[in-house]
Amino acid sequence: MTEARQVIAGVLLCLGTFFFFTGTLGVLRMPDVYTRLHVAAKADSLGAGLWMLGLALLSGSGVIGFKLIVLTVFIWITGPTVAHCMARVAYRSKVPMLEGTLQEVDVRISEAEGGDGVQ
Amino acid sequence: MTTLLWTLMVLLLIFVGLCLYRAAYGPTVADRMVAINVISTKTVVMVVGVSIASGQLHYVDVALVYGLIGFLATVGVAAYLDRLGPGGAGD
Repeated sequence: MTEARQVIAGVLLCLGTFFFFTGTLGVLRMPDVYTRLHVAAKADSLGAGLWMLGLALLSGSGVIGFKLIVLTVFIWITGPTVAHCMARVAYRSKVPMLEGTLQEVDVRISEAEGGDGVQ
Repeated sequence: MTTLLWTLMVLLLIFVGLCLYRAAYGPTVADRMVAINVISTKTVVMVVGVSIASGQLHYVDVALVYGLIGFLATVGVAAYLDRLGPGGAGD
């Protein structure tokens, strides 16, 4: 029983590390702030969740497991909140988007010219 | 099992180093904040990992408090940049 629990915990930890790797790769290689934020928020939530689950299985203690679940829920609430805050700040302070991104203004002009809003 | 845990945490430390590149050279302030937030999440996970691996189980509370402080810091900086107006989160 202990053996099976350790194997499951090891698999969960490896999966979590993979998702953290994906997030790091996205933060390094994505072309602008908004895409970086998109990758970082999702990969971080999943990686942290899998790590916490694996560590809770590994600890084998009820109190610690409960604390880790509380921590996971906290990370899952704060992660999207932080991502929203930063995307809002970046958009409002006019951080430039990737070259060729369809802007709201372009869509309105296209609609005024009788198009369907998509160029 | 503890060996695997320490190995994976060293990997996480390498990922933190890679994120530090974006935090140092990120073209805009918003880029730096994204990188710092990712590093903060990884630090919380690593504190819990050290706690479980070394058997010092009361370190889990440290991770809880660190997560709370990281969240407050990021939201605080975001509110400050928002107050600066257009260009606040730029170069």
